[in-house]
Amino acid sequence: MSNLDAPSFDPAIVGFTRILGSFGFNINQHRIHTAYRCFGAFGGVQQREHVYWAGRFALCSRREDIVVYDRIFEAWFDGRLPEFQRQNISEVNRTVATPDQNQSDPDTGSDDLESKKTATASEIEILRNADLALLSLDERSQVEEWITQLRPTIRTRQTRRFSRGKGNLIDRRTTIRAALAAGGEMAELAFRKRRHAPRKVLFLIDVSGSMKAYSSAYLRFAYATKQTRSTTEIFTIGTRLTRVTKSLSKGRVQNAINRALKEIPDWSGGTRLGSQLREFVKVHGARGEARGAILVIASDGWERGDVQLLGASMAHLSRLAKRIIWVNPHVYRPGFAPLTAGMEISLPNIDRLVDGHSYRSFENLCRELMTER
Amino acid sequence: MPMNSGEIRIALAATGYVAEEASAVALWLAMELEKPLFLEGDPGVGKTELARAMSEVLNLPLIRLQCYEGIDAAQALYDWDFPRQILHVRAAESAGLKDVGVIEHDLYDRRFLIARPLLRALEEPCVLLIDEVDRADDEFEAFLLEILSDFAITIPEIGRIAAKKPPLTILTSNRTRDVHDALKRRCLYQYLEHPDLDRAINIIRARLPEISFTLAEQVSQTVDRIRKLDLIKAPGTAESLDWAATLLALGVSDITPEATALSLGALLKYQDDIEQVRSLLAT
Repeated sequence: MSNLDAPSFDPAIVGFTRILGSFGFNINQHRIHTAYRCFGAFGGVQQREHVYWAGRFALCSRREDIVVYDRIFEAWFDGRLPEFQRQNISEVNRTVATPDQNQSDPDTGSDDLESKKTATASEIEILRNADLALLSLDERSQVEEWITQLRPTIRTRQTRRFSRGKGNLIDRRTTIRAALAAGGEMAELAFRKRRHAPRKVLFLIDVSGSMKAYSSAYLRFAYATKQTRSTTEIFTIGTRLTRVTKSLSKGRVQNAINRALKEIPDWSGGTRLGSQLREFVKVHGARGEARGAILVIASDGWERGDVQLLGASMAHLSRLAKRIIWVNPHVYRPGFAPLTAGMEISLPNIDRLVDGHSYRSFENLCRELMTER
Repeated sequence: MPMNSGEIRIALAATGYVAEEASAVALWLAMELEKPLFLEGDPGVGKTELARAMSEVLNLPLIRLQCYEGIDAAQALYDWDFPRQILHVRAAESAGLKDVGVIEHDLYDRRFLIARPLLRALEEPCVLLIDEVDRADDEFEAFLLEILSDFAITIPEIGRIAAKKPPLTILTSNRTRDVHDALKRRCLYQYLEHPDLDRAINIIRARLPEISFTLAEQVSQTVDRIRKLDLIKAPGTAESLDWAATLLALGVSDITPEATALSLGALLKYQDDIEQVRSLLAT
């Protein structure tokens, strides 16, 4: 790493890697260096395919990268890039940074996206960053599909118990027992190690009218989590509290979601967060389900009911749960402040307030679930 | 030893592995740069098989480290042979040796060291396969970083052991978990896609030389169609090979609904999937 051959860094190639970086590629000096070494390995005359392979193996690090890489590479090599790039950046800005103008009419924001049939690199990138509420139905289902593919991993917790097996602690009792059996000869050391148990994750998903565009994506994310951690519990809240864990626990995602939807009586209805959370604490929380769990509340915090009740319930939950993550789809907006009554009163008892409006923010949520305090 | 990616591809084909161009180039670069190759892809797409074929091409033994949750250095790298050490002490005692220093020194001799896959890979020329890295824990990943960047380890009692020449190292992942970027960036990255129709036919014919072209084609086409369905577990190349072999064993020369009904268990492993496919093929 330290002896990078600086003069060989062709500015054009550095520019290329920078563009890849702007498309969400994980580019760093290490990778660029590897790309150069790959390129050097081919020797001889510069050939288009040599550059292609060098970048493909050294700069891509996910399956999704490869499609995007192919397109950017082509555009770059054909000299179309300056224009191509400008077009993309303005498109990304338009879709992502100014959602409020399109707020009143969700369809207009995505009209020209729809007119292009093939998904280009730029479009994929736009979709990854776009607010779910601004997408057409087709696009939204594409993004929801990506969300279903996420595999959130959850930190485990160390338990007080031990299990046998290779660990760094000597299991005295077993060792001595074995030694006794062998006539006092300590022929084999037995080891033990701390057991780990998955931390439970609880989802409370707001399915009221104001969350309409997002609820289904959150359900899918919960489904994806349930696939990796079977101890996950999923509830929906609106005017009623519904446990949908069973419905979302098996089968294909669409069937699972349909089953859950049948169970939820208050889809797209009003919100009474406070009384629902209190019921949750009473029926599930205090009985132990929330104890030591990671609690993910997905809601915009619009509260039609008693705000004080919500505050008290949140305070109780924060004493039960290990960590409370509040996901709000509006956090990313410029000038966002947690000012809805429900949000404001809950804030002191939340560990993390995170954004949840696009595929990218769900990726961040995955990272958040991995973090231990 | 193959000199370029084209030769690797040909040599792989001779062992019965029909590789796409990208994989051959990636392997060649991995050997040229002495960098590990990180292979990702759905289960049954041929990741492990590629390592096996490559060891055959290079005529080197394949050393395989299967990762699992909870794997640690003692299982991957080395361990001291404790019972033999005790025996050694007892033997020295009964032989009347009194010099404690000498006995203790002998205790940490190389012969009491049990070499696990990673240490073995440093000591002898080989192809090293670190299989299903995504199943191991984060701590183990961090530990791999160290080995994969220097191909050397330090054993406190013995000293540093370094590979004369870093072995061709292949890491595989099924993507059940995102592997840490620090590990990925030390490797070359290649994603193995399911083969397209032509390559699928070639693979089946390479593996089952006695199969007719028609049957190989039919199997590939059917699998291709099945893969587009929303299944719990889409069949990989491994499963389609199993299926082709099953059909061959049943003496089928043409895929009929009856033959399919008999043999679908080789291809699909979930009852839900089998029913869905059966209704598709009936129409």
